Amino acid sequence: MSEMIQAEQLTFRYTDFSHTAHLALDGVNLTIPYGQFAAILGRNGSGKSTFAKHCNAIALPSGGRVLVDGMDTLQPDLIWDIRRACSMVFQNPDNQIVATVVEEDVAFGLENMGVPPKEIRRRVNEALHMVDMYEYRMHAPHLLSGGQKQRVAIAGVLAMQPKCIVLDEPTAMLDPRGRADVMHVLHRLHKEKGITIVLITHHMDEAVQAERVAVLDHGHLILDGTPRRIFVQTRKLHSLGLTVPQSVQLLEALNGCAQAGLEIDALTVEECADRLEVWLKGGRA
Amino acid sequence: MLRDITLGQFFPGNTWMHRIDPRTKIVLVMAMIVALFVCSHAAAYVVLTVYIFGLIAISKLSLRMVLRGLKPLLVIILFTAVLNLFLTPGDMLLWRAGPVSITMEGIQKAALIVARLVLLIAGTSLLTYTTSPIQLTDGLERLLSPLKKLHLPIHELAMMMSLALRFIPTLVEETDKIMSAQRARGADFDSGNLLHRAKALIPILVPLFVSSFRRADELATAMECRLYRGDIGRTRMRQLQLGRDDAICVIVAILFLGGAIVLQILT
Ligand SMILES: Nc1ncnc2c1ncn2[C@@H]1O[C@H](COP(=O)(O)OP(=O)(O)OP(=O)(O)O)[C@@H](O)[C@H]1O
Ligand SMILES: [Mg+2]
Repeated sequence: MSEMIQAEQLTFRYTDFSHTAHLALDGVNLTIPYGQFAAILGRNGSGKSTFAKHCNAIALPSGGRVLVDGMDTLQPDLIWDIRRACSMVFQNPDNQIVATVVEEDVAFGLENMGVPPKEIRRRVNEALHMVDMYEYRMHAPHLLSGGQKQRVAIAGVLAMQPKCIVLDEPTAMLDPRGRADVMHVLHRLHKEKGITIVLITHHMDEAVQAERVAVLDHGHLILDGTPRRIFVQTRKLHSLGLTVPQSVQLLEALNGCAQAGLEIDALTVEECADRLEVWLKGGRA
Repeated sequence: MLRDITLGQFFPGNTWMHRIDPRTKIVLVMAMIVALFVCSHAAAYVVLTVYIFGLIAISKLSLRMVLRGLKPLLVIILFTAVLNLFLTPGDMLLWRAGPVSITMEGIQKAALIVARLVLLIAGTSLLTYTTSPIQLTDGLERLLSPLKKLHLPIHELAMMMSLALRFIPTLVEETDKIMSAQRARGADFDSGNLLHRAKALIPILVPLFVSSFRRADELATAMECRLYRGDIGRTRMRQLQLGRDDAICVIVAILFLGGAIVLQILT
């Protein structure tokens, strides 16, 4: 049985202006099974985007290999099948929207695939419904908000019916409302369609919602596990230039100054509130 | 200021004019341009004016919007009108001061030029306002597709055009942003002589240029991700189909444009 994305000893070398070679990725072993919602974290320049580009053969390994849905990205004749299986959404929605009408943009990928017109229409409508942008199908993209644009971009890849969508900081340019909408859509795609989601992000509250978190640093895979296991390693995360969710921060601070002895693995505000409630009641009793 | 540029912008809608096949519209606009240049008599121009503004009314475009499209070209229109007004020699002299004079012929010529340019812009913006750039380039691609046999890159040109149209508003927005940023740093774009103002544009053009290249690079990657590989095996969601409405459109055009040309020849 093949995996959705399987990076084996993945290394990516590039040469800068002074012709010295650098490694953006250095021996990364990372396997993402079908249907997983994975988040990838890491500070600026840690190699996240470079990894993302290897997932659909936009970048090719200098060493090791990447298998996408069982297909080796180094095989030139498989490139289009790989890109069909695994799509990508980028940070800046303005730079990935091709058309001047929302529905025509969503249709772009399907037109390139040579899908018959009737079927294109059907899939475009379905994709727009999935991202809650159907009412906007005749709008001009440049008049939409950032979150709406990003959902259009997601619809554009969704219509191509990929098994996996890799998103490179899709919420980085959005306001909190737009971010929440995009995250809602991603969870829906994951639950209802079973699509594998690989989310690259700098927002811990988004990573917390994933089933799995992988942390890159200087091109190495440093941490890999469930959010609950990763986010309690506060000192390690700080040394990697990352923050932890505020709920974890709060509980840890209480442990430090009030010797509260709390379990710090509260990933959401609700969990944190529960712990605090138990602690406060216990304290009073 | 920059937001006023509406020429070449599409206004989504679902009027009768929006549904006409882009090929029909392109051919008819060509015919309109020919008619505008063939005609010079007042009677012919009345017919053409009725035709073009009638179509604008049918398309439910606000007149203000169409006239706003004239704004960027106002200087050129006024300039040519003034030159023609004062520098046309003629028999019916109305006023003279040294080398400049106003003649009846001058007035007619100036009026003709203004009418011609205004109708030209109104008519072509009618096409671009009611036809999405994708449809527009689609129509052009189809009209020119016989040239593909000669190995001319028709599809590529059409794609380049539609992307250029897509990025006009984005780049306008960006230019606005950069200008504000430079103003905040004390740049002055509105005073001084021409050379001074031209120099003031450099700090705008350089960042705009750099960011355009970055955008182009990202866009190319995004298009590749969506399986774009040129013309190979491509289908379209919107099939172009000539129908009854196109026939009506053509007949109306023949009546008006043909009528105007006949009037021109007869008078
Ligand atoms: N083709 C290339 N040419 C030059 N430098 C490159 C190239 N590819 C990657 N790099 C460098 O490799 C490193 C990793 O880059 P990458 O974009 O993957 O980081 P990232 O984790 O996505 O960072 P960010 O959070 O800023 O997006 C960076 O230092 C980057 O400058
Ligand atoms: Mg990045």
